[in-house]
Amino acid sequence: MIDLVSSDLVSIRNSLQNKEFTAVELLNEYIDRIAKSSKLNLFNTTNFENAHKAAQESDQKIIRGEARSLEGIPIGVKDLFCTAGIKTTASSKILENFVPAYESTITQKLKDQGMILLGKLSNDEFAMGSSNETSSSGPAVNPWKGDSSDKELVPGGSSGGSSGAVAASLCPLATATDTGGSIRQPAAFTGTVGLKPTYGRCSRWGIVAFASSLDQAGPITKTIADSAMALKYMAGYDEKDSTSADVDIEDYEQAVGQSIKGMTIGVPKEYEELDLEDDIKQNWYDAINWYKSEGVEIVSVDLPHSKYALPAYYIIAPAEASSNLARYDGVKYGTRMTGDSLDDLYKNTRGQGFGAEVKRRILIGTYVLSAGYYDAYYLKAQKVRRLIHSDFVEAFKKVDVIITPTTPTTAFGIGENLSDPLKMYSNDILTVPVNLAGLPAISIPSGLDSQGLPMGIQLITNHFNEGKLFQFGSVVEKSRSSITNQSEWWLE
Amino acid sequence: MVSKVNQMTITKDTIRKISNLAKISIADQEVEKLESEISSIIRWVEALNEVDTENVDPMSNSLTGALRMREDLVTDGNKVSDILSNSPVDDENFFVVPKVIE
Repeated sequence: MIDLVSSDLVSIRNSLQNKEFTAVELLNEYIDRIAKSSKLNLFNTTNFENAHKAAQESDQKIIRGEARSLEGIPIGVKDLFCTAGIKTTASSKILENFVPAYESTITQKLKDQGMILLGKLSNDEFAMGSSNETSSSGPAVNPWKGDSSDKELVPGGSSGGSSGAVAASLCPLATATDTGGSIRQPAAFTGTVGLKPTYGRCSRWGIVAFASSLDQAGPITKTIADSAMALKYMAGYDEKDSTSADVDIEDYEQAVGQSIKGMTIGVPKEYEELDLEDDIKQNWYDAINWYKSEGVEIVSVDLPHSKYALPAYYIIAPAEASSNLARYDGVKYGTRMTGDSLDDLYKNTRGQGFGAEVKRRILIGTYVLSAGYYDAYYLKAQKVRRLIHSDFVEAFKKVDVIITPTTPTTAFGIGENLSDPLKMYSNDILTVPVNLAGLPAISIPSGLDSQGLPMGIQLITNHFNEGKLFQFGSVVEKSRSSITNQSEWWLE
Repeated sequence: MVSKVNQMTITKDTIRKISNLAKISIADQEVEKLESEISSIIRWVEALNEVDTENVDPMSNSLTGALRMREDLVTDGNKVSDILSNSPVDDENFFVVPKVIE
């Protein structure tokens, strides 16, 4: 019996390499736990049969001394990454039977190191959402519940399947994507570590596109050391992605826990005015003090345009989405609804194939790009984006890292925010500016609120400086109070 | 600062027009709901009009420098069966759609 709950990516790698258990034994434990966790509704598709064959091959390689860096480690993959021969749905009815003929660069890189695919994890449809409730397979459920509450909570979104699966110890690593907070917000809601790398750091090739100038892949893990280890194998230049950056990869694992004495951390004044839950605000102030105790200089920084980030995002992201999602026409792949004319076929396919939130965003995007409105909305938003970016450029002349809470609230109940799009969008108020500026940021579990729910601290740094996030992140990890989820209420 | 075009209100006709542009069929009972939701979202994003963007260059992504070019070469091919493998209806290596030309 392997204790999956107290295992993490690094410990599993070491145990496999030291032959404490075999890849097949480990896989069987995960499959067993996943089977007992169906209440959480985290997996769209499982891949157990193929995984079993792969684990046997991994064990052979380990015996022969030919183990690759991640040999035999089972992982979960957000259902937005194309996986050859395995259904990839983006949690949308319009792709419910889509089986890619090719593999995304990120999943290929992980497979090349010996990782084993457990299955495809739920997300908000086409990654549009902050609660994982818009998935065509129904809401994913957070493994956490409040102390004296039986209410089922959202795991955040859009990568709620990924955050939930890592939090429930159904995999030690899940891939995810972040367009406006979709890695960091779910990580904060589930007590996991979520890293959104610099735009261009990880290849977007083979990932179902939402908003191409903002989308970025990254890992969700239990620890910062795990996050550093995962990024090492996910990052890198890819000629198949025209915005992939040819920038050297730092030694991320080595950066974890390095001294930060004498370095600087920035606190954005404007964020004090935001509507944050009291516990979250207090936790943020506590975290600032943890850094002070480490000999870090605390500096106030200005991000004067950050309050315009959400409105700018809700022009730019829908505009890009309306263009990207034009490809789902019912002709070449995906679900088709018939019609008397080609035009009717398109309209019926898209009208019935897309869910309400996706349709709403495509319509907003179409509106802001339509003749007569382009300059007033889209171009205006792109100019504001430049100002938001410049704010950060100025701030990083003064500080190494900026610290904020990840979210204004802890996890909310399923169904609570669904009827009010603007309220749902406000979840991403602290994460969206980072995507507009293309910066790397990490959410680290930083304690529990008075209901016993996890909170997250967000660290942001300059482009391609991910190492600093791991270096600074260790302080939160060692200073916070315990964040163990005692109750495993969902296990059957 | 607020230009005239921004004061346009979204009506049911606007919703019908943009859903036609986006090739999405919308049921009549959905039109009303979308009108109110999209109106309130558009009113909310108009907060951007407070920002002075005179002489600011629009930013389409965060990368510095121009997008990379590659040589215009064929790098793979002969994947007809892969390409058709997800096709809802095909015939003789063609995608089939309702008749377009009378």
